[in-house]
Amino acid sequence: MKLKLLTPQVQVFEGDVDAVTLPGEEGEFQVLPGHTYLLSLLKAGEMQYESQGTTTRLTVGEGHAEVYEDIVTVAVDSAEASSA
Amino acid sequence: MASLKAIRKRIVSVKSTQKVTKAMQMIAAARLRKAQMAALGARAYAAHVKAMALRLAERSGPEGHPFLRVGRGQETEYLVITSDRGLCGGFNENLLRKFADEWKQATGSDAAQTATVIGRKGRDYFRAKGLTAREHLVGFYEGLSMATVLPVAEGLAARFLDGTSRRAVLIYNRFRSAIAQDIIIEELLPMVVPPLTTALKVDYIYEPSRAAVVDRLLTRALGARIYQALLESVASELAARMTAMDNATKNAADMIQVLTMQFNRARQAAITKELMDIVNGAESLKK
Repeated sequence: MKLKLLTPQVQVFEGDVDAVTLPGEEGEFQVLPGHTYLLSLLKAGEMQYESQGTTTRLTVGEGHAEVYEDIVTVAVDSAEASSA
Repeated sequence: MASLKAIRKRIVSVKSTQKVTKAMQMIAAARLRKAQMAALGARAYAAHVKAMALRLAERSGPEGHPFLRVGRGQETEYLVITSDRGLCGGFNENLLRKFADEWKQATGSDAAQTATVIGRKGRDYFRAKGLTAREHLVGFYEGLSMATVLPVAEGLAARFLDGTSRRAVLIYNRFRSAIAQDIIIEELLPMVVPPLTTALKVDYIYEPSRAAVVDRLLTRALGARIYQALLESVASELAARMTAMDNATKNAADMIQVLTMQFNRARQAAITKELMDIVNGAESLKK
């Protein structure tokens, strides 16, 4: 499964991941490989993705996420690595 | 012939002007690199949003989303992107002339039109020509971000949906290269979509609801296009300023050369005249 993390300024991340957890408008949810097509609005909060056993956490602004043909595209206003 | 002092003064003045234009050129060149990076960085986002809007449109049912149809209103709304600062050659003038052509063409017919103008130069132009705009946005480029652009997109979308406007047109300078910018006039609303295939498409799951997601995302797609246009315009402005200031610097150098020549001629003439006076004086004393 591929993850693309975009902001209007810059492409923050692109690569293969095993799982993505996102702050949906109606609560946090997780996307695993083989997920059906999904469009969800995101609220500002924490997201994380797992890739080869390591978990990366980021603080993201408002935006949306699209799952399409096993590509997860997260488009948010801002994204910064969480210190915690 | 102008006096020596006057010429010397002019040379000094042109030289200091040249210093200013040279500095402006270098500043524009440095900023251009940054602006180019920003415009390129935003392309991935804009491309994604555009592709997604298309996929949404394909799944929007037989009657489609209102954004895909011509609006019910009368007005054609223009969004004109100019710069806040001048000294960038024909950057604003060329764009505004193109816009004026569009505007005049439509004035003859009974279609109403309004404009939202971004940039001080656009505002000045409207004032000078006695045109009225719906809104002037000055100082929009400071702290430019998606968050500041979205209200503009939302306004356009709202007026389109409530039956005020029929279509929305965007006019801006697109960045091609440091020496070439293209003036682009393109339709924002209704969104232009290629003919849709009728093949059955797997639909999305929408969170929280289909209506909420589609409206928000299509408005965002609009915002992303405007944002991209603004970034392109900023890069174009800097490129245009760089070229204009480079020309100004060269012209100043030419002028200095001409003035120096004049100065030397005048100096030579003065010396010759003095010598003649001395020789004449000596001759007359001999007698």
